[in-house]
Amino acid sequence: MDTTGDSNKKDDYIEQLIEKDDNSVGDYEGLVDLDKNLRERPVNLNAAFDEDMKPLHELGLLTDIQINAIITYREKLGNFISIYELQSVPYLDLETIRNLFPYVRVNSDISVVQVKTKDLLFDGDYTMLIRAQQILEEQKGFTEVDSGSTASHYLGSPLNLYARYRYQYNTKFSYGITGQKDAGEEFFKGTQKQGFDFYSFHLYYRGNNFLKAIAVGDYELKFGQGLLAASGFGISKSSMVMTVKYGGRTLKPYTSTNEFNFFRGGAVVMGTKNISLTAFISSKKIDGNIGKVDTLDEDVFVTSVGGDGLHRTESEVADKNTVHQTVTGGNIDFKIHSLSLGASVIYSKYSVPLSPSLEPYNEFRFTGDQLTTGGVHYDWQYRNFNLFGEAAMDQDGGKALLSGLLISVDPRVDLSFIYRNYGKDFHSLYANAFAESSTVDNESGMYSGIIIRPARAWQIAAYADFFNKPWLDYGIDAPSNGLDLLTQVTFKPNKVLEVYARWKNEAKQQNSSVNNEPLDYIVGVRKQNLRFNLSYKASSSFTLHSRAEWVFFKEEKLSTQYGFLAYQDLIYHRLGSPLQLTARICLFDADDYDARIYAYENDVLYAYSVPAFSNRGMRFYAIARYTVTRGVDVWIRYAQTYYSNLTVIGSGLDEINGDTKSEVKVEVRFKF
Amino acid sequence: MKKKLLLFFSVCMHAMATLAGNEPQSIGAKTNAMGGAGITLADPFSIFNNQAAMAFVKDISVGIFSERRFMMSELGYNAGGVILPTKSGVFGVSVSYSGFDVYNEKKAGLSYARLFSKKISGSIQFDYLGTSIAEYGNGSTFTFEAGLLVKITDKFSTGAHVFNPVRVNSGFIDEKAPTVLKLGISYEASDKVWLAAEAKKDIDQAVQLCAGLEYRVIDALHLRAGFGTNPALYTFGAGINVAQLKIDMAATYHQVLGVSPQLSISYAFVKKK
Repeated sequence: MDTTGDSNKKDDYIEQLIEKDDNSVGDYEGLVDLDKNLRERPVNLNAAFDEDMKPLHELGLLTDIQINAIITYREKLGNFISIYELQSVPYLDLETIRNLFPYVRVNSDISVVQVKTKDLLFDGDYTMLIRAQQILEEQKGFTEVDSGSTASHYLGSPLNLYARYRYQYNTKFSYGITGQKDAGEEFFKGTQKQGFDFYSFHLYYRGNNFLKAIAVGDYELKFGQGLLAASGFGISKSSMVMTVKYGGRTLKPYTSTNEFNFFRGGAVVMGTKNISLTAFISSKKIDGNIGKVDTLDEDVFVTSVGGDGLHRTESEVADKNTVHQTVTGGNIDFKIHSLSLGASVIYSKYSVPLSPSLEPYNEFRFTGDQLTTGGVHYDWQYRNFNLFGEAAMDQDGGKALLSGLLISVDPRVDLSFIYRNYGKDFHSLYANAFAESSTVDNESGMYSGIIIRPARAWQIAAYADFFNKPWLDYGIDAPSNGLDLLTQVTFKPNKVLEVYARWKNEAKQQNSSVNNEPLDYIVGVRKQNLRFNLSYKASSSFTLHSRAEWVFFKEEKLSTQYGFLAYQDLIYHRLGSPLQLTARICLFDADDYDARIYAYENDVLYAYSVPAFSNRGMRFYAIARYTVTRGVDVWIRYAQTYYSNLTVIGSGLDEINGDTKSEVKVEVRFKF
Repeated sequence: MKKKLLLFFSVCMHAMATLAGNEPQSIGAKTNAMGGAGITLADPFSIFNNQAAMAFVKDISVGIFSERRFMMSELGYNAGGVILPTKSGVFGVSVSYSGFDVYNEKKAGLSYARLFSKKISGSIQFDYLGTSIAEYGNGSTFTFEAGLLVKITDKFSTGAHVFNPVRVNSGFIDEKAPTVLKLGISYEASDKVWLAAEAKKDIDQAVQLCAGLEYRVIDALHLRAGFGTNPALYTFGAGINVAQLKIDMAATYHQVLGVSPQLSISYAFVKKK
């Protein structure tokens, strides 16, 4: 079953996550991957342990309260006879069950709880995937440079290549290798003799006995609520107001192409039913711009590490793999009935000390080459209450605390609360926790969310979040505070129609953009989004999505900036037909970058794109998927953006001289 | 003294806390724990929030309320009221006092509410408003407020209330007493969960929205949470019910100015059957 054309929660969620951490390189491939994987191999509710259910939590389909309820129900009343029996499980509403359907099944043949080793090793899915994409218009960085010219330019071709080979047996066992070359990077020559700029390999096994999970190669970790470590996509404020808690697996294979945000080495999770012990070690080279303290000195430092993984120019290549990062640590969890308590510690060593630039907002940032951070976390479920949290401290005494509460008050009402207080001097290099900003420090705040189902087919979701920054931040030259609000009303009378209206309001403070004073001062800014969205499965082969969205951005003392975007999707997918077609036409008109609007786009398999639109123009894309024979699929995607008010698109080396930007993607997948 | 006065006024300005100038307050720790959305609530504090809801109160009830706004005794607010149901409608008397010796406001009200049908009730209340500012003197005036409550279904109620529609002067030279319109809705999600939302518009202030929820964990213990805008407030609270005695606590949290604790106690004299 292919999901092209399903307007599903995941797309909407990714869209909101990307919108939230606009400037960071999010890692959503893992999420897209997991979604696909679970649809192909749904979780068997009759054979599922808590661990097997966790991926459903990672996708935001179930809360821990609900997972607990399903397992308790099964233990009390025996196996599920039909999937529809979920309706009698407490704390599960119809909408949740509907969303869950593609990912779970009920298998009455319980004898297959223990998978045979042979099946595990050879009976899974082998996938080989190759994707090529390129922007058709010439960008400045690719223009011919005269020999001897010192102007910066891209060394490689404008082709973006991605290839992967993977074997997997649902979420239990998998191994694979991924290679990726970004546009502008060289390939098998010059600075990239080894071919792809980025390679990733993983081997992963998840068991149900003493050995709970083991990973070799690239992997992701999640401890507690992410104050120490949570690689991959984080959790954030979104219209899924109950999805504010980490509850997924501690150890996961890493299968994405973000070149920084993962661990490389080995990790193991072992234990008994009530104790789970994780140990890991990671060693890899990461990017950093090496600076010298002074020209004669041997002392070197880096202002920051990581980055976007692009190695297209001489200077980008020069920063590649300059710092050796070693990380080790562990985690222990005790589970006593419905209470779980844990503690974790992470130690990092950099071959070159970190020394952020001397800016006031960096005053309390981590400097040095070694860091130890430790923490304790808890997670307690009592009937329909789920209380959880984490407290962490670094070697220099910086502290962070997060505490949350989820309540399934009633079949009609769910509540969530998150309080967090991250010290301005708290240092944790792999933290990824619930926060307004992209870092886990210098923030305190209180979040609360509610879902109300007043009548059949209707759902109201809302959240409110207060946050304070006790110290300065980038572009905010004073302590500041803010307030986020969201309300979404959804009407879903049947399986084919879903309409929602969403209003979002973000008020915060930042430096005034019109400032003639010698010193920067902060002013209030407010951004409101109003969106109407409709999804309609018009017939067995045609699906329609429509959207209209307005943005109002207002900075104190300045006039409001407006943005508008509207699109129409048409998706054709006839059952049994080898051809699927998806197309979108989208018009946008946004006064400036502050009034930009994000829109999730369908893409070729495993890819996702959520571009932000500003200026004025039109966007169009079409995707064709063709099944050549069983196991061989081809995707072709053509997308074009036309700007009616620009003659030059982009800036720097990405600059295009013209008013259109188009991109072609081709993907082939072999499955056997 | 001057310092205190200065502090007081600056707090008023900053909080936009509509305390100055006889602004009608939402009273009762139950209502305030739910963000202040109590317009449809029939309880001993209906006499302050929407007198029309008194028409649904069956027993003689008394209630007292006290708040220390931002933990400052100078910003205290104290109120009390009695509701008296009779065969020809429900009568009520209420008084409140806020502030301190240098600046204070007093309000007294005499109200009458009655049912028009099983589902609709209306009310009127006559108010005395008094303000006293040291070295400026005292001012007082009379005005009225009116309310309406409609039980659309067993689960949905909606209410409307207007304070000072005639825009009287406050008693100080060309200083009008505020005119405020409130509209609200509430929804009984189940026998354990109650939700309410309200919009409040003062002629001269930005519209205030608030919403809250009550979760009746057991009959003796109710938990509440809510939210309000302009100023943005988080509210939390709990209620303890011992037979006809109700003790409610609430705390509202303002992002900049902090916590305001509140307490209310009420008792209903249930007729012996």
